[in-house]
Amino acid sequence: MIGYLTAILVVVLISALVALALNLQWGQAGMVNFGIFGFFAATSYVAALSSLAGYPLLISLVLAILTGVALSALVALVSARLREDYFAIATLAFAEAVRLFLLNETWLTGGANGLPGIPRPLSAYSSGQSYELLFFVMALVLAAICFAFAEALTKSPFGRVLRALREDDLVAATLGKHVLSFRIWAFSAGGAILGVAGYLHSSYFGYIDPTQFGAFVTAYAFMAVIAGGRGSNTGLLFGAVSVMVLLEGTRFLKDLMPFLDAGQAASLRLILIGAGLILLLIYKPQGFFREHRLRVDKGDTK
Amino acid sequence: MLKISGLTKMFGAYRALNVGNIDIPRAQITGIIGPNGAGKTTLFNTIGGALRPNAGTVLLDGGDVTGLSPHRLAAKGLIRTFQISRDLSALTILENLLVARPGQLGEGVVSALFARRKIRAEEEAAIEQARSLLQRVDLWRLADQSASSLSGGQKKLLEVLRAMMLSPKLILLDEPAAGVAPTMEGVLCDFILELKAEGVTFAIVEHDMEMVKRLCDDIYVLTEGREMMHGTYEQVTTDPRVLNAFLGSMV
Repeated sequence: MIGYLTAILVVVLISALVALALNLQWGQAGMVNFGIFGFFAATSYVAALSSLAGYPLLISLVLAILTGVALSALVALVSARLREDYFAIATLAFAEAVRLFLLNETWLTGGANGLPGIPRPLSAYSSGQSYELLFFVMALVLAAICFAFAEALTKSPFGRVLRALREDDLVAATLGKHVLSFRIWAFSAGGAILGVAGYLHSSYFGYIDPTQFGAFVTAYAFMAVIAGGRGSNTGLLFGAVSVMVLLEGTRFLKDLMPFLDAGQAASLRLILIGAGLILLLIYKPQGFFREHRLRVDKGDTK
Repeated sequence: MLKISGLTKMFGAYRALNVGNIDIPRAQITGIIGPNGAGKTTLFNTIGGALRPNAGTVLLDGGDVTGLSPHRLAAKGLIRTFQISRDLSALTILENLLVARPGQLGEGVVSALFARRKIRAEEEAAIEQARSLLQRVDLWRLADQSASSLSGGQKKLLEVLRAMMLSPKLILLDEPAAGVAPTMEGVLCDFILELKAEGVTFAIVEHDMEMVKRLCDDIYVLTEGREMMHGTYEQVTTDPRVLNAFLGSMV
Protein backbone atom coordinates (compact mmCIF):
# COMPACT_ATOMS: atom_id res chain seq x y z
CA MET A 1 0.00 0.00 0.00
CA ILE A 2 2.87 2.39 0.86
CA GLY A 3 4.28 1.56 -2.55
CA TYR A 4 0.98 2.36 -4.27
CA LEU A 5 0.59 5.60 -2.31
CA THR A 6 4.10 6.88 -2.98
CA ALA A 7 3.71 5.89 -6.62
CA ILE A 8 0.53 7.93 -6.86
CA LEU A 9 2.09 10.83 -5.01
CA VAL A 10 5.11 10.89 -7.33
CA VAL A 11 2.78 10.83 -10.34
CA VAL A 12 0.77 13.66 -8.78
CA LEU A 13 3.96 15.69 -8.25
CA ILE A 14 5.08 15.18 -11.83
CA SER A 15 1.71 16.19 -13.25
CA ALA A 16 1.60 19.13 -10.83
CA LEU A 17 4.96 20.28 -12.24
CA VAL A 18 3.64 20.10 -15.80
CA ALA A 19 0.61 22.10 -14.66
CA LEU A 20 2.91 24.59 -12.90
CA ALA A 21 4.75 25.17 -16.17
CA LEU A 22 1.46 25.60 -18.00
CA ASN A 23 0.28 28.05 -15.36
CA LEU A 24 3.26 30.30 -16.06
CA GLN A 25 2.91 30.00 -19.81
CA TRP A 26 -0.86 30.03 -20.24
CA GLY A 27 -2.23 30.90 -16.81
CA GLN A 28 -0.21 34.08 -16.57
CA ALA A 29 1.35 34.93 -19.90
CA GLY A 30 -1.68 33.78 -21.91
CA MET A 31 0.37 31.54 -24.21
CA VAL A 32 -1.75 28.49 -24.97
CA ASN A 33 0.65 25.56 -24.97
CA PHE A 34 -1.27 22.59 -26.35
CA GLY A 35 2.06 20.99 -27.20
CA ILE A 36 3.30 20.90 -23.65
CA PHE A 37 3.59 17.10 -23.85
CA GLY A 38 6.17 17.50 -26.60
CA PHE A 39 8.42 19.64 -24.40
CA PHE A 40 7.86 17.19 -21.55
CA ALA A 41 8.80 14.28 -23.83
CA ALA A 42 11.96 16.01 -25.03
CA THR A 43 13.19 16.77 -21.52
CA SER A 44 12.32 13.23 -20.37
CA TYR A 45 14.34 11.73 -23.21
CA VAL A 46 17.32 13.99 -22.60
CA ALA A 47 17.26 13.08 -18.90
CA ALA A 48 16.96 9.39 -19.77
CA LEU A 49 19.76 9.45 -22.34
CA SER A 50 22.15 11.27 -20.07
CA SER A 51 21.35 8.97 -17.14
CA LEU A 52 21.90 5.99 -19.44
CA ALA A 53 25.20 7.51 -20.52
CA GLY A 54 26.21 7.36 -16.87
CA TYR A 55 25.87 10.99 -15.85
CA PRO A 56 24.86 11.54 -12.23
CA LEU A 57 21.60 13.01 -10.99
CA LEU A 58 22.58 16.66 -10.99
CA ILE A 59 24.07 16.68 -14.48
CA SER A 60 21.09 14.84 -15.99
CA LEU A 61 18.75 17.18 -14.21
CA VAL A 62 20.56 20.29 -15.42
CA LEU A 63 20.69 18.93 -18.98
CA ALA A 64 16.94 18.28 -18.88
CA ILE A 65 16.30 21.81 -17.59
CA LEU A 66 18.54 23.36 -20.25
CA THR A 67 16.73 21.37 -22.92
CA GLY A 68 13.39 22.62 -21.64
CA VAL A 69 14.59 26.22 -21.60
CA ALA A 70 16.29 26.09 -25.00
CA LEU A 71 13.37 24.42 -26.82
CA SER A 72 10.84 26.74 -25.20
CA ALA A 73 12.87 29.83 -26.02
CA LEU A 74 13.23 28.66 -29.61
CA VAL A 75 9.54 27.88 -30.10
CA ALA A 76 8.52 31.16 -28.43
CA LEU A 77 11.02 33.15 -30.49
CA VAL A 78 9.64 31.76 -33.73
CA SER A 79 5.94 31.72 -32.89
CA ALA A 80 5.13 34.12 -30.04
CA ARG A 81 4.22 36.88 -32.51
CA LEU A 82 1.29 34.76 -33.64
CA ARG A 83 -2.19 35.33 -32.30
CA GLU A 84 -3.18 33.18 -29.33
CA ASP A 85 -4.97 30.46 -31.31
CA TYR A 86 -2.31 30.19 -34.01
CA PHE A 87 0.35 30.00 -31.34
CA ALA A 88 -1.51 27.04 -29.80
CA ILE A 89 -1.44 25.28 -33.17
CA ALA A 90 2.28 25.99 -33.55
CA THR A 91 3.03 24.36 -30.19
CA LEU A 92 0.95 21.35 -31.19
CA ALA A 93 2.93 21.06 -34.42
CA PHE A 94 6.15 21.23 -32.43
CA ALA A 95 4.96 18.41 -30.15
CA GLU A 96 4.06 16.28 -33.15
CA ALA A 97 7.52 16.88 -34.60
CA VAL A 98 9.05 15.74 -31.31
CA ARG A 99 6.88 12.64 -31.28
CA LEU A 100 7.85 11.70 -34.84
CA PHE A 101 11.50 12.30 -34.05
CA LEU A 102 11.33 10.04 -30.99
CA LEU A 103 9.49 7.37 -32.95
CA ASN A 104 11.77 7.33 -35.96
CA GLU A 105 15.28 8.13 -34.78
CA THR A 106 15.65 4.59 -33.46
CA TRP A 107 19.44 4.81 -33.11
CA LEU A 108 19.04 7.45 -30.43
CA THR A 109 15.63 6.96 -28.86
CA GLY A 110 14.89 3.28 -29.37
CA GLY A 111 11.85 4.25 -31.48
CA ALA A 112 8.59 2.61 -30.44
CA ASN A 113 10.47 0.26 -28.11
CA GLY A 114 11.50 3.19 -25.99
CA LEU A 115 14.44 3.37 -23.61
CA PRO A 116 14.52 0.68 -20.92
CA GLY A 117 16.76 0.37 -17.89
CA ILE A 118 17.17 4.05 -17.03
CA PRO A 119 19.28 4.13 -13.86
CA ARG A 120 17.40 5.31 -10.79
CA PRO A 121 19.07 8.11 -8.85
CA LEU A 122 20.17 7.70 -5.22
CA SER A 123 19.68 3.93 -5.50
CA ALA A 124 23.02 3.41 -3.75
CA TYR A 125 21.51 4.72 -0.54
CA SER A 126 18.39 2.69 -0.25
CA SER A 127 16.34 -0.09 -1.80
CA GLY A 128 12.88 -1.62 -1.81
CA GLN A 129 10.04 0.24 -0.15
CA SER A 130 12.27 2.73 1.59
CA TYR A 131 13.72 3.63 -1.82
CA GLU A 132 10.24 4.54 -2.98
CA LEU A 133 9.97 6.85 -0.02
CA LEU A 134 13.41 8.32 -0.66
CA PHE A 135 12.50 8.99 -4.29
CA PHE A 136 9.27 10.61 -3.20
CA VAL A 137 11.16 12.90 -0.82
CA MET A 138 13.59 13.86 -3.60
CA ALA A 139 10.67 14.56 -5.92
CA LEU A 140 9.00 16.60 -3.22
CA VAL A 141 12.11 18.72 -2.67
CA LEU A 142 12.52 19.37 -6.41
CA ALA A 143 8.83 20.19 -6.75
CA ALA A 144 9.03 22.55 -3.78
CA ILE A 145 11.93 24.40 -5.39
CA CYS A 146 9.99 24.70 -8.64
CA PHE A 147 6.96 25.92 -6.74
CA ALA A 148 9.01 28.57 -4.94
CA PHE A 149 10.50 29.59 -8.31
CA ALA A 150 7.06 29.96 -9.91
CA GLU A 151 5.64 31.75 -6.88
CA ALA A 152 8.54 34.23 -6.82
CA LEU A 153 8.01 35.03 -10.51
CA THR A 154 4.25 35.31 -10.06
CA LYS A 155 4.54 37.82 -7.27
CA SER A 156 7.31 39.87 -8.88
CA PRO A 157 6.89 42.81 -11.25
CA PHE A 158 7.74 40.29 -13.99
CA GLY A 159 4.60 38.29 -13.20
CA ARG A 160 2.59 41.50 -13.18
CA VAL A 161 3.74 42.35 -16.70
CA LEU A 162 2.81 38.83 -17.83
CA ARG A 163 -0.72 39.23 -16.51
CA ALA A 164 -0.93 42.66 -18.12
CA LEU A 165 0.03 41.39 -21.54
CA ARG A 166 -2.27 38.41 -21.15
CA GLU A 167 -5.14 40.87 -20.59
CA ASP A 168 -4.19 43.14 -23.47
CA ASP A 169 -0.85 43.00 -25.22
CA LEU A 170 -1.41 46.25 -27.13
CA VAL A 171 -1.87 48.11 -23.85
CA ALA A 172 1.26 46.47 -22.44
CA ALA A 173 3.17 47.58 -25.55
CA THR A 174 1.71 51.08 -25.28
CA LEU A 175 3.07 51.21 -21.74
CA GLY A 176 6.55 50.50 -23.04
CA LYS A 177 6.78 46.74 -22.52
CA HIS A 178 8.62 44.61 -25.05
CA VAL A 179 5.89 42.01 -25.41
CA LEU A 180 7.87 39.42 -27.38
CA SER A 181 10.76 39.30 -24.97
CA PHE A 182 8.46 38.91 -21.97
CA ARG A 183 6.71 36.05 -23.75
CA ILE A 184 10.00 34.32 -24.49
CA TRP A 185 11.08 34.60 -20.86
CA ALA A 186 7.76 33.32 -19.55
CA PHE A 187 7.73 30.40 -21.94
CA SER A 188 11.31 29.50 -21.08
CA ALA A 189 10.68 29.69 -17.35
CA GLY A 190 7.89 27.16 -17.91
CA GLY A 191 10.34 25.09 -19.95
CA ALA A 192 12.75 24.97 -17.00
CA ILE A 193 10.03 23.47 -14.81
CA LEU A 194 9.21 20.96 -17.56
CA GLY A 195 12.88 19.94 -17.44
CA VAL A 196 12.50 18.97 -13.79
CA ALA A 197 9.26 17.15 -14.56
CA GLY A 198 10.95 15.26 -17.40
CA TYR A 199 13.85 14.24 -15.20
CA LEU A 200 11.52 12.93 -12.48
CA HIS A 201 9.35 11.11 -15.00
CA SER A 202 12.14 9.22 -16.73
CA SER A 203 14.07 8.39 -13.58
CA TYR A 204 11.01 7.29 -11.66
CA PHE A 205 9.61 4.92 -14.26
CA GLY A 206 13.00 3.71 -15.46
CA TYR A 207 11.50 3.18 -18.90
CA ILE A 208 10.13 5.65 -21.40
CA ASP A 209 8.50 5.34 -24.79
CA PRO A 210 6.62 7.80 -27.01
CA THR A 211 3.15 6.61 -25.93
CA GLN A 212 3.70 8.04 -22.44
CA PHE A 213 3.64 11.53 -23.93
CA GLY A 214 0.28 12.00 -25.59
CA ALA A 215 -2.22 14.82 -25.76
CA PHE A 216 -3.68 13.51 -22.47
CA VAL A 217 -0.69 15.09 -20.68
CA THR A 218 -1.81 18.46 -22.03
CA ALA A 219 -5.41 17.70 -21.07
CA TYR A 220 -4.56 16.86 -17.47
CA ALA A 221 -2.39 19.94 -17.13
CA PHE A 222 -5.15 22.21 -18.45
CA MET A 223 -7.68 20.50 -16.16
CA ALA A 224 -5.45 21.05 -13.15
CA VAL A 225 -4.91 24.73 -13.97
CA ILE A 226 -8.58 25.37 -14.75
CA ALA A 227 -9.82 23.56 -11.63
CA GLY A 228 -7.30 25.32 -9.44
CA GLY A 229 -7.98 28.75 -10.86
CA ARG A 230 -5.97 30.14 -13.75
CA GLY A 231 -2.94 32.03 -12.53
CA SER A 232 -2.90 30.62 -9.00
CA ASN A 233 0.02 28.33 -8.17
CA THR A 234 -1.56 27.14 -4.94
CA GLY A 235 -4.76 26.45 -6.81
CA LEU A 236 -3.13 24.22 -9.36
CA LEU A 237 -1.63 22.01 -6.64
CA PHE A 238 -5.19 21.48 -5.49
CA GLY A 239 -6.22 21.01 -9.13
CA ALA A 240 -3.48 18.48 -9.88
CA VAL A 241 -4.34 16.47 -6.77
CA SER A 242 -8.06 16.45 -7.53
CA VAL A 243 -7.53 15.46 -11.16
CA MET A 244 -5.35 12.57 -10.03
CA VAL A 245 -7.80 11.56 -7.30
CA LEU A 246 -10.51 11.49 -9.95
CA LEU A 247 -8.35 9.50 -12.35
CA GLU A 248 -7.19 7.01 -9.76
CA GLY A 249 -10.41 6.92 -7.76
CA THR A 250 -12.49 6.04 -10.79
CA ARG A 251 -10.31 2.94 -11.23
CA PHE A 252 -12.36 1.43 -8.44
CA LEU A 253 -15.63 2.00 -10.29
CA LYS A 254 -15.51 -1.56 -11.46
CA ASP A 255 -15.65 -2.81 -7.85
CA LEU A 256 -18.69 -0.67 -7.16
CA MET A 257 -20.47 -1.68 -10.30
CA PRO A 258 -19.56 -5.30 -11.01
CA PHE A 259 -22.07 -5.50 -13.85
CA LEU A 260 -19.75 -3.38 -16.04
CA ASP A 261 -17.06 -5.07 -18.06
CA ALA A 262 -13.56 -3.60 -18.21
CA GLY A 263 -14.18 -1.69 -21.43
CA GLN A 264 -17.38 -0.13 -20.18
CA ALA A 265 -15.77 0.83 -16.86
CA ALA A 266 -12.90 2.54 -18.66
CA SER A 267 -15.32 4.50 -20.84
CA LEU A 268 -17.45 5.46 -17.86
CA ARG A 269 -14.30 6.76 -16.15
CA LEU A 270 -13.58 9.09 -19.03
CA ILE A 271 -17.22 10.19 -19.12
CA LEU A 272 -17.13 11.02 -15.42
CA ILE A 273 -13.94 13.04 -15.79
CA GLY A 274 -15.37 14.92 -18.77
CA ALA A 275 -18.60 15.58 -16.93
CA GLY A 276 -16.64 16.80 -13.91
CA LEU A 277 -14.73 19.30 -16.03
CA ILE A 278 -17.92 20.55 -17.69
CA LEU A 279 -19.67 20.99 -14.33
CA LEU A 280 -16.63 22.86 -13.09
CA LEU A 281 -16.67 25.19 -16.09
CA ILE A 282 -20.37 25.87 -15.58
CA TYR A 283 -20.42 26.44 -11.85
CA LYS A 284 -16.90 27.57 -11.05
CA PRO A 285 -15.37 28.88 -14.26
CA GLN A 286 -12.66 30.80 -12.38
CA GLY A 287 -11.60 27.68 -10.51
CA PHE A 288 -11.31 27.34 -6.76
CA PHE A 289 -8.48 29.77 -6.07
CA ARG A 290 -7.85 33.35 -7.14
CA GLU A 291 -4.64 34.47 -8.74
CA HIS A 292 -2.17 36.64 -6.90
CA ARG A 293 -3.20 40.21 -6.26
CA LEU A 294 -1.28 42.95 -4.61
CA ARG A 295 -2.71 44.14 -1.30
CA VAL A 296 -1.56 47.42 0.20
CA ASP A 297 -2.15 49.16 3.46
CA LYS A 298 -4.26 52.21 2.78
CA GLY A 299 -4.49 53.09 6.46
CA ASP A 300 -3.71 56.78 6.18
CA THR A 301 -6.68 57.65 3.96
CA LYS A 302 -10.35 57.58 4.76
CA MET B 1 6.37 69.14 -29.61
CA LEU B 2 4.86 66.83 -32.23
CA LYS B 3 5.06 67.70 -35.91
CA ILE B 4 3.17 65.58 -38.41
CA SER B 5 3.72 66.10 -42.11
CA GLY B 6 2.50 64.28 -45.16
CA LEU B 7 1.32 61.32 -43.11
CA THR B 8 -0.42 58.77 -45.32
CA LYS B 9 -2.05 55.48 -44.48
CA MET B 10 -3.55 53.23 -47.14
CA PHE B 11 -5.95 50.37 -46.51
CA GLY B 12 -5.56 48.59 -49.81
CA ALA B 13 -6.39 51.22 -52.41
CA TYR B 14 -8.32 53.33 -49.92
CA ARG B 15 -6.47 56.36 -48.64
CA ALA B 16 -7.68 56.48 -45.05
CA LEU B 17 -5.23 59.14 -44.01
CA ASN B 18 -3.61 61.88 -46.04
CA VAL B 19 -2.54 64.63 -43.68
CA GLY B 20 -0.60 67.70 -44.74
CA ASN B 21 0.66 69.36 -41.58
CA ILE B 22 -0.45 69.03 -37.98
CA ASP B 23 1.43 70.75 -35.19
CA ILE B 24 0.88 69.83 -31.57
CA PRO B 25 2.52 72.51 -29.42
CA ARG B 26 4.03 71.87 -26.00
CA ALA B 27 1.88 72.09 -22.87
CA GLN B 28 -1.26 72.66 -24.90
CA ILE B 29 -4.30 70.58 -25.68
CA THR B 30 -4.84 70.06 -29.36
CA GLY B 31 -8.22 68.76 -30.40
CA ILE B 32 -8.89 66.66 -33.47
CA ILE B 33 -12.49 66.56 -34.56
CA GLY B 34 -14.28 65.37 -37.64
CA PRO B 35 -17.26 63.33 -38.77
CA ASN B 36 -17.28 59.53 -38.43
CA GLY B 37 -14.81 57.92 -40.78
CA ALA B 38 -12.70 61.06 -41.09
CA GLY B 39 -9.61 59.14 -40.02
CA LYS B 40 -9.20 60.44 -36.47
CA THR B 41 -8.55 57.08 -34.86
CA THR B 42 -6.45 56.01 -37.84
CA LEU B 43 -4.36 59.12 -37.24
CA PHE B 44 -3.80 58.10 -33.62
CA ASN B 45 -3.11 54.49 -34.57
CA THR B 46 -0.55 55.65 -37.09
CA ILE B 47 1.19 58.08 -34.73
CA GLY B 48 0.94 55.62 -31.83
CA GLY B 49 2.60 52.72 -33.60
CA ALA B 50 -0.40 50.40 -33.94
CA LEU B 51 -0.33 51.01 -37.70
CA ARG B 52 2.62 51.76 -39.97
CA PRO B 53 2.26 54.80 -42.20
CA ASN B 54 2.83 54.44 -45.95
CA ALA B 55 4.42 57.85 -46.18
CA GLY B 56 5.11 60.97 -44.17
CA THR B 57 6.98 61.81 -41.01
CA VAL B 58 6.22 62.27 -37.35
CA LEU B 59 8.72 64.28 -35.33
CA LEU B 60 8.69 64.28 -31.55
CA ASP B 61 10.82 67.10 -30.15
CA GLY B 62 12.64 67.13 -33.48
CA GLY B 63 13.45 63.41 -33.38
CA ASP B 64 11.98 61.14 -36.04
CA VAL B 65 9.51 58.70 -34.48
CA THR B 66 7.69 57.68 -37.68
CA GLY B 67 6.50 54.10 -37.62
CA LEU B 68 8.13 53.18 -34.33
CA SER B 69 6.52 50.36 -32.38
CA PRO B 70 4.39 51.32 -29.36
CA HIS B 71 6.92 50.26 -26.73
CA ARG B 72 9.64 52.42 -28.32
CA LEU B 73 7.29 55.39 -28.51
CA ALA B 74 6.48 54.90 -24.84
CA ALA B 75 10.18 55.03 -24.04
CA LYS B 76 10.38 58.33 -25.93
CA GLY B 77 7.49 59.76 -23.95
CA LEU B 78 4.53 59.31 -26.28
CA ILE B 79 1.61 57.32 -24.82
CA ARG B 80 -1.88 56.80 -26.16
CA THR B 81 -5.14 55.79 -24.57
CA PHE B 82 -7.99 54.01 -26.29
CA GLN B 83 -11.49 54.99 -27.42
CA ILE B 84 -12.97 52.01 -25.60
CA SER B 85 -11.09 51.93 -22.31
CA ARG B 86 -8.68 49.06 -22.20
CA ASP B 87 -8.18 48.46 -18.54
CA LEU B 88 -6.20 45.41 -17.51
CA SER B 89 -9.24 44.01 -15.78
CA ALA B 90 -7.66 41.08 -13.95
CA LEU B 91 -5.22 43.46 -12.28
CA THR B 92 -6.10 45.75 -9.42
CA ILE B 93 -6.28 49.48 -9.95
CA LEU B 94 -2.95 49.91 -8.22
CA GLU B 95 -1.36 47.13 -10.29
CA ASN B 96 -2.63 48.82 -13.45
CA LEU B 97 -0.49 51.79 -12.50
CA LEU B 98 2.51 49.87 -11.19
CA VAL B 99 2.82 47.85 -14.37
CA ALA B 100 3.27 51.08 -16.30
CA ARG B 101 6.27 52.30 -14.33
CA PRO B 102 9.29 52.15 -16.63
CA GLY B 103 12.71 50.67 -15.96
CA GLN B 104 11.80 48.28 -13.18
CA LEU B 105 14.53 45.81 -12.28
CA GLY B 106 11.97 43.29 -11.03
CA GLU B 107 10.67 42.81 -14.55
CA GLY B 108 13.67 40.66 -15.42
CA VAL B 109 13.44 36.98 -14.50
CA VAL B 110 16.90 36.73 -12.99
CA SER B 111 16.68 39.87 -10.89
CA ALA B 112 13.11 38.98 -9.88
CA LEU B 113 14.57 35.84 -8.33
CA PHE B 114 17.81 37.09 -6.86
CA ALA B 115 17.63 40.84 -6.23
CA ARG B 116 14.68 40.67 -3.88
CA ARG B 117 15.71 43.48 -1.55
CA LYS B 118 16.39 45.97 -4.32
CA ILE B 119 13.07 45.09 -5.87
CA ARG B 120 11.22 45.67 -2.64
CA ALA B 121 12.66 49.19 -2.43
CA GLU B 122 11.80 49.75 -6.08
CA GLU B 123 8.25 48.56 -5.47
CA GLU B 124 7.82 50.92 -2.56
CA ALA B 125 8.88 53.86 -4.71
CA ALA B 126 6.50 52.74 -7.45
CA ILE B 127 3.60 52.39 -5.00
CA GLU B 128 4.37 55.87 -3.66
CA GLN B 129 4.20 57.34 -7.16
CA ALA B 130 0.97 55.48 -7.91
CA ARG B 131 -0.53 56.53 -4.60
CA SER B 132 0.09 60.21 -5.14
CA LEU B 133 -1.54 59.95 -8.58
CA LEU B 134 -4.52 57.95 -7.34
CA GLN B 135 -5.09 60.30 -4.44
CA ARG B 136 -5.42 63.23 -6.79
CA VAL B 137 -8.57 61.77 -8.30
CA ASP B 138 -9.84 60.04 -5.17
CA LEU B 139 -9.20 56.52 -6.45
CA TRP B 140 -6.66 55.48 -3.83
CA ARG B 141 -9.41 54.15 -1.60
CA LEU B 142 -10.25 51.67 -4.40
CA ALA B 143 -6.62 50.73 -5.09
CA ASP B 144 -7.10 47.06 -4.16
CA GLN B 145 -10.12 46.55 -6.34
CA SER B 146 -10.10 44.98 -9.73
CA ALA B 147 -10.00 47.53 -12.54
CA SER B 148 -13.08 45.93 -14.08
CA SER B 149 -15.16 47.23 -11.16
CA LEU B 150 -14.66 50.85 -12.20
CA SER B 151 -17.24 52.97 -13.99
CA GLY B 152 -16.66 54.12 -17.56
CA GLY B 153 -15.39 57.50 -16.44
CA GLN B 154 -13.12 56.07 -13.78
CA LYS B 155 -11.61 53.75 -16.38
CA LYS B 156 -10.77 56.76 -18.55
CA LEU B 157 -9.16 58.39 -15.54
CA LEU B 158 -7.26 55.18 -14.86
CA GLU B 159 -5.90 55.22 -18.40
CA VAL B 160 -4.65 58.77 -17.98
CA LEU B 161 -3.11 57.93 -14.59
CA ARG B 162 -1.47 54.85 -16.05
CA ALA B 163 0.05 56.97 -18.79
CA MET B 164 1.25 59.49 -16.18
CA MET B 165 3.28 56.74 -14.48
CA LEU B 166 5.66 57.01 -17.44
CA SER B 167 6.08 60.78 -16.99
CA PRO B 168 5.19 61.27 -20.66
CA LYS B 169 5.76 64.29 -22.84
CA LEU B 170 2.64 63.74 -24.90
CA ILE B 171 -0.56 61.79 -24.29
CA LEU B 172 -2.92 60.94 -27.12
CA LEU B 173 -6.43 60.67 -25.74
CA ASP B 174 -8.89 58.84 -27.99
CA GLU B 175 -12.42 60.01 -27.12
CA PRO B 176 -12.02 60.56 -23.41
CA ALA B 177 -15.70 61.48 -23.05
CA ALA B 178 -17.08 58.31 -24.67
CA GLY B 179 -19.10 56.29 -22.16
CA VAL B 180 -18.51 58.77 -19.37
CA ALA B 181 -21.27 60.08 -17.09
CA PRO B 182 -21.68 63.90 -17.16
CA THR B 183 -20.42 64.49 -13.60
CA MET B 184 -17.38 62.33 -14.27
CA GLU B 185 -16.76 64.27 -17.45
CA GLY B 186 -16.19 67.37 -15.33
CA VAL B 187 -13.75 65.52 -13.08
CA LEU B 188 -11.90 64.20 -16.10
CA CYS B 189 -11.69 67.66 -17.72
CA ASP B 190 -10.43 69.26 -14.52
CA PHE B 191 -7.77 66.62 -14.16
CA ILE B 192 -6.60 66.93 -17.76
CA LEU B 193 -6.40 70.73 -17.37
CA GLU B 194 -4.40 70.28 -14.16
CA LEU B 195 -1.93 68.05 -15.95
CA LYS B 196 -1.69 70.56 -18.79
CA ALA B 197 -0.83 73.25 -16.26
CA GLU B 198 1.97 70.98 -15.08
CA GLY B 199 3.39 70.88 -18.59
CA VAL B 200 1.92 67.71 -20.10
CA THR B 201 0.97 67.98 -23.76
CA PHE B 202 -2.24 66.39 -25.03
CA ALA B 203 -3.81 65.56 -28.34
CA ILE B 204 -7.47 64.66 -28.10
CA VAL B 205 -9.87 63.04 -30.52
CA GLU B 206 -13.36 63.93 -29.32
CA HIS B 207 -16.97 64.13 -30.48
CA ASP B 208 -18.32 65.78 -27.36
CA MET B 209 -18.12 69.47 -28.31
CA GLU B 210 -18.66 70.66 -24.74
CA MET B 211 -15.49 68.88 -23.77
CA VAL B 212 -13.64 70.14 -26.83
CA LYS B 213 -14.69 73.67 -25.92
CA ARG B 214 -13.50 73.32 -22.36
CA LEU B 215 -10.20 71.67 -23.12
CA CYS B 216 -8.77 72.50 -26.49
CA ASP B 217 -6.46 75.41 -27.27
CA ASP B 218 -6.28 74.59 -30.94
CA ILE B 219 -8.57 72.39 -32.99
CA TYR B 220 -7.92 70.55 -36.23
CA VAL B 221 -10.88 69.49 -38.33
CA LEU B 222 -10.34 66.27 -40.20
CA THR B 223 -12.47 65.16 -43.14
CA GLU B 224 -11.81 62.23 -45.42
CA GLY B 225 -8.37 61.73 -43.98
CA ARG B 226 -7.12 65.33 -44.45
CA GLU B 227 -7.01 68.31 -42.18
CA MET B 228 -9.49 70.82 -43.50
CA MET B 229 -8.70 73.73 -41.22
CA HIS B 230 -7.55 74.52 -37.75
CA GLY B 231 -8.20 77.26 -35.25
CA THR B 232 -9.85 78.05 -31.94
CA TYR B 233 -13.21 76.65 -30.90
CA GLU B 234 -15.00 79.81 -32.11
CA GLN B 235 -13.22 79.87 -35.45
CA VAL B 236 -13.89 76.23 -36.09
CA THR B 237 -17.53 76.16 -35.05
CA THR B 238 -18.48 79.16 -37.13
CA ASP B 239 -16.69 78.10 -40.29
CA PRO B 240 -19.28 77.19 -42.95
CA ARG B 241 -17.02 74.49 -44.43
CA VAL B 242 -16.92 72.74 -41.06
CA LEU B 243 -20.67 72.92 -40.60
CA ASN B 244 -21.00 71.55 -44.08
CA ALA B 245 -18.74 68.61 -43.36
CA PHE B 246 -20.58 67.70 -40.19
CA LEU B 247 -24.17 68.38 -41.14
CA GLY B 248 -24.15 68.04 -44.90
CA SER B 249 -24.74 70.96 -47.25
CA MET B 250 -27.78 73.13 -46.78
CA VAL B 251 -29.87 73.21 -49.89
